[in-house]
Amino acid sequence: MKSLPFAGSLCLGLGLILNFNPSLGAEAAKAPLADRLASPPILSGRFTQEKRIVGLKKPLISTGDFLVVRDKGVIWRTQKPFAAAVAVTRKGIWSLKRTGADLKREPIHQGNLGAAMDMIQKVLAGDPASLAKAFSVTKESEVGGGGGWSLELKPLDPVVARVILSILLQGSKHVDRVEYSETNGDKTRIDFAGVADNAGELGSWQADAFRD
Amino acid sequence: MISSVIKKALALAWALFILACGAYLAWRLPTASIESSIFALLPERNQDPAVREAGAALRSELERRFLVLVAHADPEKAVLAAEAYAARLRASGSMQEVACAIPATGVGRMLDFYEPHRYALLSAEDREALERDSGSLYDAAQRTLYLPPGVSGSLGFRKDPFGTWGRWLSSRSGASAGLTLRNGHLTAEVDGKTAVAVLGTLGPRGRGMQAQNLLSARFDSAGRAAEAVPGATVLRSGFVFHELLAARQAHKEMTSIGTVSAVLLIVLMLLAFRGIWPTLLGFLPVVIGCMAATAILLWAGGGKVHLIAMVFGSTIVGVAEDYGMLFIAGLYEDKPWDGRRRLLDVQRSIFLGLLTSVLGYLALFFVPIPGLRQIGLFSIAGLVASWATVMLWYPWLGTRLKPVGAGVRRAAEAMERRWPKVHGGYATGLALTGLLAFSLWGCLRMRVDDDVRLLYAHDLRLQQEQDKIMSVLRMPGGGRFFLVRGKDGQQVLEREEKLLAAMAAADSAGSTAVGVSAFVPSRSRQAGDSALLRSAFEGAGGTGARLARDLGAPELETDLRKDLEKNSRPVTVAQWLADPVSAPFRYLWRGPPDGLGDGAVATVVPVPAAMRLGMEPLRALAKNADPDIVLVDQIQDVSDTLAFLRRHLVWVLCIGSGIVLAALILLFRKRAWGAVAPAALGVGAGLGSLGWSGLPVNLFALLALALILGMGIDYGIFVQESRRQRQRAAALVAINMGAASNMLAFGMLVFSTTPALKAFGLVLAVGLGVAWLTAPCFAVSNEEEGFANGS
Repeated sequence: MKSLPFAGSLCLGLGLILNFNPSLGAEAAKAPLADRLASPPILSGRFTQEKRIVGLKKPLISTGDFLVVRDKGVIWRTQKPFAAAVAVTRKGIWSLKRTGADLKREPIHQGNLGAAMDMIQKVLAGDPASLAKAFSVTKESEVGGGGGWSLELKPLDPVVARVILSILLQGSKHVDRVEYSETNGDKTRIDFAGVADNAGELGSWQADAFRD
Repeated sequence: MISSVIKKALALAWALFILACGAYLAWRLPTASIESSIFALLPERNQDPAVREAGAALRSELERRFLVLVAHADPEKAVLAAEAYAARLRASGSMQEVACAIPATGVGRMLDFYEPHRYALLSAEDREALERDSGSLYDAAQRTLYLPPGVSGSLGFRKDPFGTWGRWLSSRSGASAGLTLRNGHLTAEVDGKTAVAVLGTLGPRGRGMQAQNLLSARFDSAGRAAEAVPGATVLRSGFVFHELLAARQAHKEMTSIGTVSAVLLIVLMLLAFRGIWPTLLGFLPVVIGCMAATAILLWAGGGKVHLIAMVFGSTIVGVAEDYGMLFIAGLYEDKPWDGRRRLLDVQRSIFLGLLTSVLGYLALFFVPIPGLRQIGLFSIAGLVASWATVMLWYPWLGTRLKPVGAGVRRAAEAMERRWPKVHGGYATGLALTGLLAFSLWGCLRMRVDDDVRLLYAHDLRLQQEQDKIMSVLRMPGGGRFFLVRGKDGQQVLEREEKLLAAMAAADSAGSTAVGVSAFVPSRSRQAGDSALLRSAFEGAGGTGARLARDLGAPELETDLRKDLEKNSRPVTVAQWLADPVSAPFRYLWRGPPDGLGDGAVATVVPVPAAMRLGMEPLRALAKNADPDIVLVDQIQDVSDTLAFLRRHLVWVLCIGSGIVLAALILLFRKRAWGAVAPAALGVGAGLGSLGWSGLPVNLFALLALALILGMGIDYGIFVQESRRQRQRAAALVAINMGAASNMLAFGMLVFSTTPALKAFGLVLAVGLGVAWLTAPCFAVSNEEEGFANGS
């Protein structure tokens, strides 16, 4: 038969949180910002993340580095307080364990994550032209004199809106800071440093981490 | 005098009987249950009621649903066009539901429904990880705590500390058929364009042409609304589109082919018999025969009739046209018209025609197939009623007719005289030999094909649209499904879980298969999953203690434990069925609606269309999962049924021909071959033409053969029975008119675009044509044989 599992169903909705893609929606209204931002094929840098979870007294602070490869995925490597790495690719989320030259990749979640990956990449790469399609820009301002800017976004997607209240982006050439406010009251602030567009080759373990 | 009174009484009685039949039909037919499933033609023992009901439920569900993709290179315009399409359909009022965007409230409902059960549900990856190493729960919690929002799949530390719930829900979207949710719209990528899905369910609708035309117009109008956005294309998928297209095609053919043949038929009759009344008399026996037969079949079936038996039966009753034709062909005789005398002249011919037909169709009762018996009953009842109509009414109805003019009459006589005769020379014999060679050679090239899809008009464009959608999305299709049975709901769910796992392992598309257990895992699975979670959480080295220590929050362990205990109650089928979240998938559950109870419980697992496995691997896969799981292929089953009926019909035709042959030999002795030959040549040529044309032999082609046999033998009898030359001229007129009108009525189907109808039309046109043209060749005049003048 030529029919379908009825997707009108909610159940569908539950690609949830993960499966949304900002590349659809109103045409980018914020072109001037896009001009200022680079969207290189490979972007890497260090991060410091501070998470405040309702009910926990102390903020959770972690540091590490990240690698964004256009059309491939993201590696998010935490170094402190413990060492752990995950890769997000189109096919899912993977935990990465490296011993020497060997990479052990275990699935944490499998499924079509093309859209999720896109979104993470775009937030990290700070591509506001794309972001503007998935979010409504609620506040935009110039910060300082050297071309700095900040942007407050609210998700347009009703499914995402159930979890994420708003995202605040700050930066100049690249995104320097991202702040998430979740509907449950949790807040996450990520500061980036040493962001560079390395046009170089991917390491073999990195290429391995992205294999789909 | 006395016999005239009896005749009048009989005619009156017959009129009363027909009136009664009409009244019965008027009263009963509107409420009659007209069965149209081909399976109902089969003997009981060939049917598994559970399989049949599951198949019917699946069909009726899927037949109502459709999916349309509206594609555009610009994602924003794709959304606009899809919204326009959906809005136009919604406004039409014909739809139960049209969805283009996923409402946030729906997602909320889903979250609310599963929240109290969230610690009893694990995705396959999480289960495997926990089984391998209970420490993986700790790692999972760490990811929730330390990864940016969304990356770990968790819905937030408060409600989903380990991310297991979010990932379980997210993995259910395997059921989402490959569509991705973007900004609330379901989208897919088609040829580099963004396609936005419009999903619909048809509301209740009327039957018949008018309702179909209306629905057709509404879909067309929606298509125009979408294409008003320049560059937008619409791809359609769903049973309804094929149905509407087939209906439109049938309507077109009915108006074109049907009108042409009806007009030609009437013109022909008017030309031949110079009046409307003889024309009506020619067709009346068929009309009365069909009416009486329908009433009798309906009565015999206790208010239940099968559509196919009626259609096939009515076609066969078409043979009875010969009776009326032979009667009015008397207008071509060279004497003043006298209806009663004409009836006396031809009653033996008509009776022999009836007798042989009835004997032949009696063979339908020799096979133990209810469907064929119904056809037999209908045909015999119809033929007898047609015969009775001619015999009882025509002495009165046929009194005031005018013979045709002398010129026309002489032309008919000349035609008969000049008609090539078998004994008239080599040329005719040579032509007949050529015909035989053509038939034999064609028969050697015959190809049997029982595929039910031959019954549908095929539309290339719609098929391409559908194939495109199938290649992008993963949807159930092809009418294949597994029926999972068990002694109670739990056993069924456990078996289904094994089946779904086996399907996912066998083929990547198999992972998108849906089943009830994807939404309500079996009790044992839920108990196992929550036990896995808890044991990983508990204890001195457990995740709970480690998290509390790490975060310096001793109360966290207790809080989380309480949360875990409170929200790991298993979700039940009963709860799921009672909640709106199950609405799109309820048809998969074939058991008590409350989800409880034991006994007849089963679930349906449709095989995704993208699964490229053949029937055998699928069957093996089911068998390995559980021997009680059956694989059903509905299209194949229908085709198999058609093949089954075809094989039996071959026997029926052989037995029927044998009986008829025996009867003719008894009646005509040496001249029997002359009565049989036209029909035999017709059947041979009909089959041969199929071989030559490449059209398949199937049930419908055989039905045409049954018709050729019936009529061909009538023609043979009419020719053999009319020994005087002038009688033969009238017989030839009857044969010409009977054959011409049947060829116009059925043979024109050769122009149909539906392959099965085309084959039927071809066999009939060629076979009947041959029987018609050859029957007069076997005429033997009384002068030659030295018979005394019969009249």
